[in-house]
Amino acid sequence: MYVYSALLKSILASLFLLSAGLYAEERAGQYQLAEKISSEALQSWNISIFPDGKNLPEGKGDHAEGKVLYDNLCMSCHGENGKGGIKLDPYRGNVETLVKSKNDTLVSDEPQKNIGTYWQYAPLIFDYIRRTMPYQAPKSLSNDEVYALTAYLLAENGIISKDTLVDKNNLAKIKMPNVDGFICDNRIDTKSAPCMKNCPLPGEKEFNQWIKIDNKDYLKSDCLVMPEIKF
Amino acid sequence: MKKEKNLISLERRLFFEKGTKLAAGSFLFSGLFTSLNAKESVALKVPAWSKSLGTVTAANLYGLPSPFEKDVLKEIRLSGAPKGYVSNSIALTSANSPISKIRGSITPNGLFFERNHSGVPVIDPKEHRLLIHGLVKDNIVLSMEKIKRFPSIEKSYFVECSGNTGISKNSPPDKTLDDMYGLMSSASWIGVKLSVLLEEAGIDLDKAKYIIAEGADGATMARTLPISRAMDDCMVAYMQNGEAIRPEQGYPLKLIVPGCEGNIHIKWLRRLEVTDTPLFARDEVSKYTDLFADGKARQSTLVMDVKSVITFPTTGDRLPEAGFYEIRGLAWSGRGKVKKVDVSVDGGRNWETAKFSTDPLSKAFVEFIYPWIWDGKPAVILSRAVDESKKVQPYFKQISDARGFNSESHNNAIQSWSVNAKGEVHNVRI
Ligand code: HEC
Repeated sequence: MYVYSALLKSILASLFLLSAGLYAEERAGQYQLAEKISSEALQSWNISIFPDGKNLPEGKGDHAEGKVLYDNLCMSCHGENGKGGIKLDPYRGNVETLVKSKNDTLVSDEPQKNIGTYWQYAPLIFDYIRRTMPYQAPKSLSNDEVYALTAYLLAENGIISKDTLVDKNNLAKIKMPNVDGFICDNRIDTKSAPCMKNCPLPGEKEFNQWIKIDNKDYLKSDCLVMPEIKF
Repeated sequence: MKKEKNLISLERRLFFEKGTKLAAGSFLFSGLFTSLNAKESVALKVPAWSKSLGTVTAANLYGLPSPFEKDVLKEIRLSGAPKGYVSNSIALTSANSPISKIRGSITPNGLFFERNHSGVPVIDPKEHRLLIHGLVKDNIVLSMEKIKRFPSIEKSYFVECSGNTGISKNSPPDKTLDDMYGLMSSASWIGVKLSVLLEEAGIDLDKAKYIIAEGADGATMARTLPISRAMDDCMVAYMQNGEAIRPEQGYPLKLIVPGCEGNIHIKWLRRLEVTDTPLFARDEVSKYTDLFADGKARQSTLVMDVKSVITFPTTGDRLPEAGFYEIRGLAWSGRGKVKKVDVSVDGGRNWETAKFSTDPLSKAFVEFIYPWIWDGKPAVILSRAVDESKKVQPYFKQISDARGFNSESHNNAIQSWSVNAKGEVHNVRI
């Protein structure tokens, strides 16, 4: 009986495979090569903080605590009050500051991209500092320290007040000035016919016939779709 | 075959002109196809290396290039770290591939370009793990040994940094090929299809929209990969041109996202999180976004559009005499195969289709070649690629008109080089 039903099952399975292909979940463990891991056991690697605050850890911090940490651990590379720019090498023009200066803007020949003018979601500051900074000792900060540094940078950028205590419940609700500043990749934005003989060159009057903006056929599937967030 | 036509026609033209113009004493062909007119060679000597025993076999158990090739090296720019800057040892975050000194559709592993965000980690493959979790039936962990037991594939794909040939207002004549085009390379990768690993974990395709891919380096750099690409041609690679992936390319494991910007090819791959929301990571917000003049920025501009560049002759080359040269270059497209490359030697007025020196592959470099008889007069040479999706490589003006000058990256404009009467070659923007 058992053999019979197993046989039937495998016939059914192969029919299914032939007709529709196995659904991904059906293929789970097909090769029996992986080890399962519990969600607790993977926590030390589970560091993504999403724009809606998903996965933010317990903890808290404010501007005052953040300033002490910043001056000790970050200022050497990022300058006083986050306005030094990353002094990596003199060839890099436009090195970003962490903190917006009064006249910084994206609409300029020399746009100033920083947390205040450019960054999209506040939890991203936490995510990045925790995974990557300080540059020479990443992942050396406690969650409280990362909250404090996040509060410091948000307050220095004038996005929150200096007395705001930042934690997992309010960080995602802080609205970044440039939250609506991004659009999906809508290339192709240039279009040419591959002219072969007596072709017009850029700058010539007839050249315009070879330029056409046509962004209808872009790859929407690559788009990072904004989550609905109530700020 | 249409592709062959040009070469044949050029060969015919050479033959034809040899019979007619040559008689009239054409400068162009003297010394080219008439051995009678050629300068006589000095008597041949038997060199020392033909009269001695060579060096011992396998002197280097990992072989090295000829000592005469000692200048074929990656290009770096050391800043000399003036006051106020951090030291060179940590300031250097990229090295260019010497495109002008190598050829063909494969980049030698030692010359593959580098772009690192927090240096190159030294990873013990025995300890390395790949975690797959999130919207899956089972969260799983894979060792390198186990990853290598999965069914594997080999594919050639290019990797191009989105900042390669960065958009700039000016394009000075002394700009070199390696300087402008060195942030790209190509290799033949062996690994497992990403979809196979995601299916092994039992990915929930009804809910999954993105995969967060993350490296094991200090930066632990993460990017959001759309599910459509993850389940299509992405691969998790462990071999590069027949040997283990080099440390600076992601040893022991690298995510290959064919045709897409270099940054999303996560190196030292340690984690794949299946989600329904993008991460909006620092390197898909603060960096790797293309800003327009009006302050809006394009995000997740993954595709590297159809592009080509003449790699010989370029800035720094000097054509020694009028005569025959093979113009050579590379073409590639993140949207599929390169269909054709046209070359102009009169500054873009007239074009002819070049030949490929091998068959083009999807999302891989292909070398094009174009026979050229330089008449000794100033010329401007350029190339223009068209891919199988019918996208045509634009002029820089088309890009700057559409995007302004602040967008920095994803510049796939036509590159031109000028040749002066002395045979000296320089960068020029048309
Ligand atoms: C040794 C120098 C150094 C130190 C110390 C340092 N950083 Fe950084 N920081 C950098 C470099 C270099 C980058 C750019 C990294 C890259 O591009 O991958 C950076 C980038 C950043 C960014 C992203 C900037 C942007 O606009 O994208 C933030 C935020 C940041 N650091 C915060 C901090 C904080 C907070 C500290 C202190 C805990 C700190 N850094 C300490 C060198 C440093």
